[in-house]
Amino acid sequence: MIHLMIDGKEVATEDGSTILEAARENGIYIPTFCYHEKLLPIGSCRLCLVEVEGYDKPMTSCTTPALEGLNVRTHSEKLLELRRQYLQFILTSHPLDCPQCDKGGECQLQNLAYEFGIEKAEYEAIRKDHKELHPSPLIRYWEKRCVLCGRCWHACREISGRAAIDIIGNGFEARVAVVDPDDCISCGECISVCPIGAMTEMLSPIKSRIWQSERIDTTCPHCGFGCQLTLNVFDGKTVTKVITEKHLPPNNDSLCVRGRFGYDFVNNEARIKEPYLNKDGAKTGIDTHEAIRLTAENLKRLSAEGKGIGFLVSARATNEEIVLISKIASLFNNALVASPAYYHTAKVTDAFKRMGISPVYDYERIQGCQTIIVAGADLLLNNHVLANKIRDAVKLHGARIVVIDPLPSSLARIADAHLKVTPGQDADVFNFLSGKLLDEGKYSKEAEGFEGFSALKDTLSKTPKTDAPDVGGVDQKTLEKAYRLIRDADNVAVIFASGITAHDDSLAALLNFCLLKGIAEKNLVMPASPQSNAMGAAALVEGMVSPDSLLEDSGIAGVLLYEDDPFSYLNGGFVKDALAKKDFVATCDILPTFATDSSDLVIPSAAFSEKDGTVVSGNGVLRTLRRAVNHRPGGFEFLAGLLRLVGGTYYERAEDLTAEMHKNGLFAVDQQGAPKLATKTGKAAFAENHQAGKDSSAAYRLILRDIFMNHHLCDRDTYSEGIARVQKDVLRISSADAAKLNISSGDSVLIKTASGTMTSPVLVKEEMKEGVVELLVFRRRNEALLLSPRIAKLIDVEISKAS
Amino acid sequence: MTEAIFSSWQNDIIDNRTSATEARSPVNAKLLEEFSPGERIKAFIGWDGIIVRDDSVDIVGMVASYAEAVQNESCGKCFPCRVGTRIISDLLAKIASGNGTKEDIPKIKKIASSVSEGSKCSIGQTGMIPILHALEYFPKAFEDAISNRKTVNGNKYRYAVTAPCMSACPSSLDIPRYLEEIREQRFTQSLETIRKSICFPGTLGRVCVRPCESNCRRANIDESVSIKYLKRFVADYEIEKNKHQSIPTAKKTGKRVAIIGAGPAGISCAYYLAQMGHKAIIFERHPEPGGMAAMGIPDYRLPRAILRREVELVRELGVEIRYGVEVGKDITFSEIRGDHDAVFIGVGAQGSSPMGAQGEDQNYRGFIPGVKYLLEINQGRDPYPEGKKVVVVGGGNVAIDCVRCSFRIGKPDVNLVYRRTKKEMPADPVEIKDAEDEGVKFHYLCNPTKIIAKDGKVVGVELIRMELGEPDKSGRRSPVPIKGSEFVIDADIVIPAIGQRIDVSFITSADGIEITKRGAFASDPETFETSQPGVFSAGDCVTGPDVLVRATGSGKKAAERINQYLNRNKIEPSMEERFRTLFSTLGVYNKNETIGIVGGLKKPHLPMLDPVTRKWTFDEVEEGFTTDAAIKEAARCLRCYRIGMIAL
Repeated sequence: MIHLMIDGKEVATEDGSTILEAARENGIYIPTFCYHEKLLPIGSCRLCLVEVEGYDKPMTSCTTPALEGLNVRTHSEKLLELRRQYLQFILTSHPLDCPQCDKGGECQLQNLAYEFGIEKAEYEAIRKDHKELHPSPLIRYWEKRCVLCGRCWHACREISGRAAIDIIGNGFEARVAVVDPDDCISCGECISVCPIGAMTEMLSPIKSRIWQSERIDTTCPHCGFGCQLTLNVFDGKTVTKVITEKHLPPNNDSLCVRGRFGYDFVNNEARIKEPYLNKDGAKTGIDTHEAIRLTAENLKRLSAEGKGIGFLVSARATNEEIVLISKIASLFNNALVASPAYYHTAKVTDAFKRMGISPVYDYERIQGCQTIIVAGADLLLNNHVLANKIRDAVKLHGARIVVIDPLPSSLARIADAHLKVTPGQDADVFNFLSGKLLDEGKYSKEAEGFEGFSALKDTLSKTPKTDAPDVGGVDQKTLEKAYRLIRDADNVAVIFASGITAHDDSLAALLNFCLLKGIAEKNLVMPASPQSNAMGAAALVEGMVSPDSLLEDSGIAGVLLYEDDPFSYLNGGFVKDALAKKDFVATCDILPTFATDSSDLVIPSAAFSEKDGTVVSGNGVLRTLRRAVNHRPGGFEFLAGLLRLVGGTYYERAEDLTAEMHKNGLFAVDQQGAPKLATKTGKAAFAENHQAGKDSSAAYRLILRDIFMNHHLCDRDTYSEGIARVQKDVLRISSADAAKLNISSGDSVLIKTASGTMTSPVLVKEEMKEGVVELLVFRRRNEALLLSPRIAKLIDVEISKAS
Repeated sequence: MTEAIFSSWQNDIIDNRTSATEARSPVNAKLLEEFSPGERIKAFIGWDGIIVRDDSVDIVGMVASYAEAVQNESCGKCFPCRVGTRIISDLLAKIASGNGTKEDIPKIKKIASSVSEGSKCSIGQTGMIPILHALEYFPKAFEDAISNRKTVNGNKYRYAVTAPCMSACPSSLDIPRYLEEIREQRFTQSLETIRKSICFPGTLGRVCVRPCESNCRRANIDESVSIKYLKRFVADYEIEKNKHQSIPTAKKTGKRVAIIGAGPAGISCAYYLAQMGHKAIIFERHPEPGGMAAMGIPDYRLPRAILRREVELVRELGVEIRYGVEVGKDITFSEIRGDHDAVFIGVGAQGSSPMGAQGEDQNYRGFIPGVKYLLEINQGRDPYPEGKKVVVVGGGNVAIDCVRCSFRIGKPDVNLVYRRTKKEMPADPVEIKDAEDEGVKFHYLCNPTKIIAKDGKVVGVELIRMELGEPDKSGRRSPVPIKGSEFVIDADIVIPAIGQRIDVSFITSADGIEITKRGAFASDPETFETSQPGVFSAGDCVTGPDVLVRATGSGKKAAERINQYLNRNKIEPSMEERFRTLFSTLGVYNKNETIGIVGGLKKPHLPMLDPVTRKWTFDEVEEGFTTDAAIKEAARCLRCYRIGMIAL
């Protein structure tokens, strides 16, 4: 600890802190404007100047280290005068348009001018108006308001790893400009850090000031990372923006485009308002009680006839809703529960259980890792904030990055080694790494005691040590480099997603590698989670089956689809045929989907902003959803009513179920007081290891991106105007392949598979692996899914230039 | 000493305005008389004050122009400088145009001192100093401009930006800029900045003698910034992260320039010529590029792959390198001259100087000059595999390289003989320390007198003890032999490494190229032209053995001159270079300056392999910075940019 005097008070702080940090920790106020906790000190505003005894010049406390024995003054007459002067400089290039500014009432400049009693701008200098572009169709840049504190362009680089905006020009004519709009991912980090109203959201038709709004903290519904955000609600019913300024973990104010702008579906006019019967396209409205009664009656009837009942529950539903469904299912003899969580998360948790790996982990542990592996996971849209944390590990701790992905995923640009593996051949890469660790004796010695060690050693030693120029499509040089980065690191974190779990052999090889290197032991295996409650679903549904097998099962005659649309991730033809064969299909959801079209009965559900309940984020932490907007009876009420009618207990409120789960020991509170999934991790055991399956001989492999996402943002229609503005449906192709096909960005190509055809515009992308194409799907997801036989993220395709 | 009528330079106020010409006190600042031949400097205004030489200087106009320059050069990244200097510049322009008011003066004073107190970097901090000096010492000039509403006609002004580190760099690298780019995580941009001035970032980032770091103002508060290692960091970053950028070149001119020697000067010259659109053809007698950088610097300090790659990037610009071609043997100089529009000679100084010891000319087995020894080792050969005990003579970097390399080819007993003491050794102290750690035996204050051989093979060396006498021209105390103190030590290999000579033998007298008395190419220090038009020369073959960064810098400047020659323009230094001369004469770094802020941020040290492991291998000894360390280290830079302006 360092001891120093600040304003006559003796304070202690950790070695390496700055004077500003020492002051703040000890409750001493130093005004700041450009300083932001998430950014490295910028030092542009000069307001945090302090004086130190024995030194001639004032210095910025945000950059000056707190040293033993310093005697610091933060508020001398001279400092106040300088600060007043600098505030005057800031105001020289800022219009006093506070009455019409979004930030009015919560603006740092307003607060400072008020604090320093500044009544008018003393100086005048006119800046040229360059009519700057907006960074994205969702982010408005108010050039004239911008005072150039520097936070936004620092955030763009430091937090998001992009370079869309930058400071350009010199002197007074310097300004923030959009230098590379294509690099903007609309994460809104610039809005989040802007201390004034120079960067604002450009989506909500209704604006509401802080004093006209209610602000409720809740959990983001778009992926499993568990971001905490605050809904700004006007008039008790309309969400007008999402803000983040409470520094809540895990995201500490960061969000992605979906979290910040993908809220508008809740306000969409198309929301299902009342239950209805759907017969040959004719809709007949009924009341909620009737809907519950009809559902109960049909399910009971079919069950009595000896037929099976299927429940398909969204991986975004709350724990409480999932528990209700499980309880309902348990009252039928022949019931199955399915969830799209099956395809990634449940598969992972199953494997973890078998292999003795804990599914509960801490994102912050990334910060102590020297090497971070990101395999089969593009963290740009899914778990984007996890990518921010990895960037922090590089920026603050010098971590090295190994990306194993055929695609130029979001972290590839800072990767020390980008292993462009052939899709589906990841097992060979991990087996290579494991084999080398074994050969060189650089594995964790604990691993020798794990079940299956000698079998693994045998299989890997039998793997022919070829002099082949590449392994799994990766050249030896890159592999060697990755291996060295992994071998030499004490702590390695492994982040992976569906690119790995789509292939059992890849998953097994990856997890074996994690056990061997001691990564699992250190709790640094971190599967990304595509849906907000996939972990909850995986933990709460016993004997979960896959949605496609449930639909296909001819024994299942009655189906309840809960907030899920299998058309959004399965081949629509298959789903339609399967549903047509069922006796009774009921769907409970918030917006019209392809599934509601195929249902006999449709019941409205509640959106995330209207729900109370809990979800489990990808790292096993329990997170809370809080009702921010009032609503009519929704899914929870429907399920609770249904449970009562089929013979179960009645639960009036979600919190009763939450309490019950706690009572049953489903969650355990950690040392910091955060409830997490209570899991018992068994003995570590290696999985049976295989080489990667035979590589396809197709000329092109198609990867469908983000099929587990966007459900409520765009389904039968587009429900999030915000996301629609920035989300393109486009096929990405390598420059080598583009040259081969004689196409360039914007051209149209024909994609042909065994199941169907589709035309799509292309985007030529550097750094893509040759022979791999990637389809980003948003509006045309349903059409794209017809290319896949049933559920497949990786499809053999033919690509040709469309005439 | 300079004669002037007024100076406030470094707050040392000399006011001769009322003194008679002969009674003027001299000014303690070395200001050049002329900027370029015939252009007299009438006044200088800059970071440390104002120097006025001539009554005709219009103070108000000069100060207004200076304020405008400060505003133009302000990076805009802090409020006091961005806004404050604009307000001042506007007010001074108003006064200079005859529209000023009395209230403007106190306003300017107030703003200028607040800008000076609190700006983020030296542009704002020092840019206000001469303005405040002018207001204090020339109040009447301002009052007159205001009350007479007089529009000032002004002088002709020119300005340039410098920094202590930049002014010390022989390649004039924009150091504060590339450091700031690292701090802002613009690593590839940082490398682009570096490449504007040098083509060997990875090489110099490892082996530069870093004159910049001994001119770093940060040292005044704690320790100098690790400028060299940061250069290496961005160079490595490009390789590590696989981010190769292409370097833009101008349209092809069709002009051909022959370059003799693929050393640092020649490669650098070719690199910039290629960017200007000229075709450069390099003739190199060795099979490997890099000259002394390749032959003289061992792999453990500079991995071959790094240098080769940097040369490869130069080649990609269209530079042709003909290896294994020895000028004077395979092709004559006059043939080359006849075939090309211009010639650049950059053959370096690779010959070896004699020690004056008996027997050194006998071609004994086991006797080998240092440069040749390194060359052999760098090509993967041990010239005397049977030898075990090595004695290297000399105190420079080549000597240190020879001893450290000896371990690496497996010699167990390695000795260094130097005629002075450790204190006088010209080698980099860091290198000396590393050699000590690795177990080299140092024998100070002795000098060889005789090589002892048996059957034509070295078996030992006779040394004589020395003592230090009076300081010589270089300021070092010169060693004097102690009579009768001779003694013999056993040795299998004796390596003289006391200096290098320039090999000019490929030139014939018919070529008409003048050679100096010291045996170097006579080349004009400003134009780099030799006695023959169209034949230029720079680097060690002009200066004698010197540091790498000077050779690359001269190579670059020579390229600019060759371009002038090819375009039939006058061959002369650029404005930038003239300012460089002006600034370095004046002195940009003041090591006695009290900066007045808290330091306490120590320079990080690169992780190193431990001496016991490293001494037997050619693997690079130092590991580079990690990203976080680089960002942190770059943030220590104080950005000591300063603006100097002359009135003509």
